[in-house]
Amino acid sequence: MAIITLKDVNKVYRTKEIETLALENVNLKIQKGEFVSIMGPSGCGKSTLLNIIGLLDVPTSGTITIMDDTTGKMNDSQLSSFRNRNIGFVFQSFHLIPSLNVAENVALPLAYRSGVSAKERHEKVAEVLTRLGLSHRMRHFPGQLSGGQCQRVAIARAIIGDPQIVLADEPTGNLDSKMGQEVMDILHQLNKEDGRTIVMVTHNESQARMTDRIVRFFDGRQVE
Amino acid sequence: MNYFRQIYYEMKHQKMMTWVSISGTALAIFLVMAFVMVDQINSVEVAPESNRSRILIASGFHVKNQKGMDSSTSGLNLDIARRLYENLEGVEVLSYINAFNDNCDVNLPGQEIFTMAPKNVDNEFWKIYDFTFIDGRPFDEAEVKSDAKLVVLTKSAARSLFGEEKVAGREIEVDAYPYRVVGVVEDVNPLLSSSFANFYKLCNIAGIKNDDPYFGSANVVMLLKEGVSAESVKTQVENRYKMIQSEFSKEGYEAVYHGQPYTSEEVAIGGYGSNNGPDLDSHNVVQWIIYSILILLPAINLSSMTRGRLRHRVAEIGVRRAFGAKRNSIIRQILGENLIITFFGGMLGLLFSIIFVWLASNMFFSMSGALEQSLEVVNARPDLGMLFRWKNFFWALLFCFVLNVLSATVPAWRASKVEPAEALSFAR
Repeated sequence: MAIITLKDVNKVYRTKEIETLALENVNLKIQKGEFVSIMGPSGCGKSTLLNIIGLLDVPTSGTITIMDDTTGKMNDSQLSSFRNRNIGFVFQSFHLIPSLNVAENVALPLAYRSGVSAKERHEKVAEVLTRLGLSHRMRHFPGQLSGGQCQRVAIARAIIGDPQIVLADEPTGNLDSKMGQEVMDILHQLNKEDGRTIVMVTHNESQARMTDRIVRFFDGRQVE
Repeated sequence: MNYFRQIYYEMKHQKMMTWVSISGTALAIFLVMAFVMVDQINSVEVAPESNRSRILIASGFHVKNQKGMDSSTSGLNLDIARRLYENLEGVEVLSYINAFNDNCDVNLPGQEIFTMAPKNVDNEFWKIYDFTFIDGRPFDEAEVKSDAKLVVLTKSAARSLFGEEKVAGREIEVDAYPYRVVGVVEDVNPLLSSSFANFYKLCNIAGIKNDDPYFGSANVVMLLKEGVSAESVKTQVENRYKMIQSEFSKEGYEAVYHGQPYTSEEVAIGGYGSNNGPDLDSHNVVQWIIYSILILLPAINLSSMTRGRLRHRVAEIGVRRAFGAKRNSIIRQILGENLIITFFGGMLGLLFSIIFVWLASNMFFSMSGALEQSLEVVNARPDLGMLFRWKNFFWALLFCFVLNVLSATVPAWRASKVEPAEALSFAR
């Protein structure tokens, strides 16, 4: 069963002078529980695709259906709520908020979800950080952590809201190979144990080969 | 969430911008609160003028030649004063004060002479103003009727003359005439102009010989009953003006009504004694224009500072949006954080304005030449209690809030409008 369906998706960036076709007629189905890698050279539209799947950006044309919901008619507020409940993000440069400690960073998605008490939030943060081996770092700030620890915090933040879909944009791009492998192990664990659907943009062929499927892009077009 | 931590973080990592924002806010609130404080000194209720909102004063009387050739304003003739102001509905106490309060030479027989500011008052005066008696008592009705030579000294006057405060019953000389001290009261701040004096001389205004049919030396001070509006009394007085007008017309004159009796605020803004009455509405409009300019100009600058600070946080806003923050959450977050900065800067500004107005009071509060010679005026400053009022604190809070809304709403709205993908790409 497809959890994500992209149909005839095009994305054009327009400035006064030029038009850039970032995605051209993309048709893609990702099954529930699948771990998909998206590969291609820089500037081929991988991150644009991930932003569109994550509802962080809107396509110029085409439709996106996620968990049977067609997202094109959702307003900004509905898109925010949908992202909050169903999609987790892991970024290459972690994007942790420097003024918040680890626990507060991880709790961020729950802070924007109505009906979650502070007690529930604290319990969930403790549970997720324990799972990722970071319970002793709860009160630390991002600046006090290593790159690998930062990315584990970012993964904790991505999954605390229990989303079915995790989107990872080059999650090991800023890490050395050992830490990168640790992060990949965690993502595989989330996929196998929790059944989460993971879509990962990567340049690393060997990491991609360990996923269920590789989707390749070139100049905005899906080539494989 | 975690607004304070965010501010602390910004203070550490965007030191200059954050401190410039705080300083700019402090300066804006300092300026506007200095204006508010100077203005509110005229209405602040402190002893012995604790009932300022219920006190009305009538001092001038404007008579105009009906041909428009001549126009004069002077003090009130006692007869006119009685016809205009006695037995008005809603008035609890009415006192006549002699308008001529030239400084006097005061001394103990054969000893050093001090120049002091008197106030010539009757027995009713003490019922309007809540003086604190350290010794003795005020004048009574019988003493006023008998035109006795009595005075009430202020504490500092008593100390200057006698070296002590408990001097009721002792004798002094005022302009070489013997007077008996019947009481000693706490000093009055010179800014409380309708009650200030170095000493209070008994005055039976009815006993003053006056041949002028219109003008004289009577000032009228009245205390309204609780809940009675100044407007209702003014309306009665206006009607009495109309009643006496028929007599004036026969002589070819017109008694011009300018809205007497005046409130303390009206007295303070001037027009008092001139051929025009005070225009409180125009005064208030001017004040609000000044406040608006003093808030708007810094708000424009602070808005740029807020935008500058937010430029460093675009990626963070993108992250928040990615994880479910709605636009209004982002706006709330930014306004909340900015309000803390504004509040912090605002309280600094309020503190500076109190200190500044207190230290530089001579620049703001002018004294008449006569008063400047009197004992206390050399050190005339508003009491800190007159400046730090809860009302002022709430005004400062209100101005902070307005400044925050003006300086942060547009940057917050613009930040919230940035698409999450665009915001996230900012840090890539």
